[in-house]
Amino acid sequence: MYKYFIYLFLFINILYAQNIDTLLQEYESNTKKSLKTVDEKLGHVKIYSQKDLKLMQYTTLTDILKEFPINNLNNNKFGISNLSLSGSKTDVSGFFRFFINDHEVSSTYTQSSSLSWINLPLDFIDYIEVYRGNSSFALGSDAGIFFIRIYTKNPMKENGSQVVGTIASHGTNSQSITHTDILQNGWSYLSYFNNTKEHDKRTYNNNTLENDAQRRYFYLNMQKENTSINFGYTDVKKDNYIGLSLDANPDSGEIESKDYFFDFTQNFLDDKSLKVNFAYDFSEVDYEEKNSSGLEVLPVLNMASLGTTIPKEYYQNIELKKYSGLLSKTFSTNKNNFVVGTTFQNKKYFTKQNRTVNFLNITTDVGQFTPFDEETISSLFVQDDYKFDDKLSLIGNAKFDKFKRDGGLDDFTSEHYRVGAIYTPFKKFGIKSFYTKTSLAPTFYNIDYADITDSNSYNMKNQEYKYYSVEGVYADEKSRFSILYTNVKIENFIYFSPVGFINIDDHTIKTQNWIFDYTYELSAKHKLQLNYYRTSLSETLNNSSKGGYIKFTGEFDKFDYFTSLIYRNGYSFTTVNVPNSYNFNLGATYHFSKDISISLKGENLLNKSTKSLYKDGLFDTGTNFALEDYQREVTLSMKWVF
Amino acid sequence: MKIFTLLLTLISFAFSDQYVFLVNKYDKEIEYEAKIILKIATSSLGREIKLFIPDISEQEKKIYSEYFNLTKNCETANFIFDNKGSLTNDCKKQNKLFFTNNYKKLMENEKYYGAFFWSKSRPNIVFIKQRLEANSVLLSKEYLKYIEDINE
Repeated sequence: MYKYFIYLFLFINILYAQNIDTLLQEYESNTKKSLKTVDEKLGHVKIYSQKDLKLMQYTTLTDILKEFPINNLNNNKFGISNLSLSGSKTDVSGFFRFFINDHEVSSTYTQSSSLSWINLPLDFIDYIEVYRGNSSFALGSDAGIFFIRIYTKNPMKENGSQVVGTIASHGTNSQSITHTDILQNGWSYLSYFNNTKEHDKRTYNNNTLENDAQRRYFYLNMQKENTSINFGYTDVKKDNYIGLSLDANPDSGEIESKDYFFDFTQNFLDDKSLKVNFAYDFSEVDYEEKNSSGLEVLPVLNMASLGTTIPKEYYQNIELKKYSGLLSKTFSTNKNNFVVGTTFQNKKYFTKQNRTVNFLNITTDVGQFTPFDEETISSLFVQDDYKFDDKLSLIGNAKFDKFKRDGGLDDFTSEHYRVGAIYTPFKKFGIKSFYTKTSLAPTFYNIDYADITDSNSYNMKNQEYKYYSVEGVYADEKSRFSILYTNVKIENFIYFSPVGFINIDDHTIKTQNWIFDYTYELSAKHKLQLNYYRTSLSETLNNSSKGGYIKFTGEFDKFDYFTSLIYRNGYSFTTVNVPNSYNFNLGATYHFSKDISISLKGENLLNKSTKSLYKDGLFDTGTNFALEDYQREVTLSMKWVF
Repeated sequence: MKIFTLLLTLISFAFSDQYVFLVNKYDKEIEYEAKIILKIATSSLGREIKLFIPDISEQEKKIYSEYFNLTKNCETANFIFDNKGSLTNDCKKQNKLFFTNNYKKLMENEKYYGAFFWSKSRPNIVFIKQRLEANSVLLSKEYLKYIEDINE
């Protein structure tokens, strides 16, 4: 009887699969899983597929980063979203790398995400891969400890146009248009334009801190079988929120920034094993602020004459240019993949304006903060993965960088190594583990804001990271359960002290993390995801250290729907007590037809947002306080595909 | 009918796939493309398929060869799938069927009798009625909704 049923199942399945409609449906749903570019050898990966992005109604990249484990997404004092590692809060973090179609869009100045790319709208994004691992090994970029690869929609698989309009309860609104086309000569292209106006404000000491912004994005991707050309542009004009004001209440202030890049990649040979890439990045930041209570512009302060060096007005305009190139070759055999590559980067930093006005109304043209304004990095990297058998793969990486820096800073070399293994002893169970030794060089920003009490602080040491990770996964037809443990040790951590950046070189910073992740497919159209993580840190906690989420997505008839609850634990720092955060979200989409849909989404419905810590006053004087990172908001959006 | 639907649902569950690690390159999409082309070619020709894909990639070669007898040139093939827009004019139309992945190309070039392409984020198939007749291709009922009459 049992055999009979098996045969019947197989027979029906063959008939079922042979239907052309069914084949097309299966092809489409398989494509939407977005697994084509996953590279398990790069690190521990989490995929936000095309289907996830659609059902969860993620509007911008920050919506995803809000829930991402072992991280906190905070607003910094300029009202800009910034990722911090669990348990700690940084205004600008250089640990994470962001790539759009494999082009790095991290800021050349800070190595953090730039002012605007972190708010990238997702309506032209196909899918996102988040890796815990160092991107520099395989992508030849600067080092980091985790990285996000964002892929724009494939014009070959879009072949149409799309208009999206969105309006939210506080007046935030956005309009976007995407156009894709396939030409007869084998080329296809995607073009995208977005205009977003954000309305946001907080209150501190009965003063309103404005955080309105206008962002614009333009993106062009052109591709042919072996060639990919990308051009990305974004600008933002926004209020400066708390800014540099000593009383956390600026009289006026504005930040403008403009970023664009051009990236060209060509693959050669039948197996595309030879890759050449050239890119140019430009960014400009214009900052101005006035405050009658004074501004904390650290690099211009002189401890011996604070009265005359504390400004009440500050004007800055800087430009960054980066030229980069990559050449890599893969040699493959049945069991072995060997990659060798070389990269070149030249970064130039121009100070167009850097002017202060002090309380005596004396204007000072500060010029460059430091003579350091150019850096050239040449690298050589190799990767080898050896497939011992169907169950075991071994991975080894090495990368050597040569840094040439001007302005009297030392040139240096740095080395990065990694070994790893992927072992799948059973069909349903596997283990993956990596040990990495890497080094993060100080940025232009670190040097500009180096400790003002130490004249030799410019020659800051590299941050040395040693970390290992072990991931165990059990998966069956309907569920996937994973546990990831990471253990990180950092020497010479670059810490933003009240007087500027210093190396923490008197002790090793240690952190351990556990992430538990569970996905269960209730049916082909309903999915439940659970996540919990916790961190222990050798330093004083000034941010959430535990968190998790529950997410449920589904489709029924003409409706898509989701609900999610994102949790971050409370903590105390000096006199500030930050309560637990429960970010509850709910949303649904109704499809009038295959081409027109309307979506409604409620975010932070319990009004229990995470909070970020800030401090007013000069150096380590003043008061610590916490402000909410985001508001309760209801968003209505319409999409028309034509 | 209900039992049939239930069985299908059960089967689709059995084949829904949570993965442990994707160590090998994920090529399910190309696999589906190959299956769809196999289905179309078999229904159109009704005999053994000798497939030619101009500028075929190594990955395509590996997967398509599991389903087809691949030829190295156009002359010896009876079914040509031009999925990169790179077919040269010296590939003459003699006892061959030409298929493209570009709808515009299908509309403008009479050589092609059909196309398998994406439109508005969805995969689609189109056959031109007049060209099916000209090539003496008889398709079964399941393809009816994919046939367009363009009054050539």
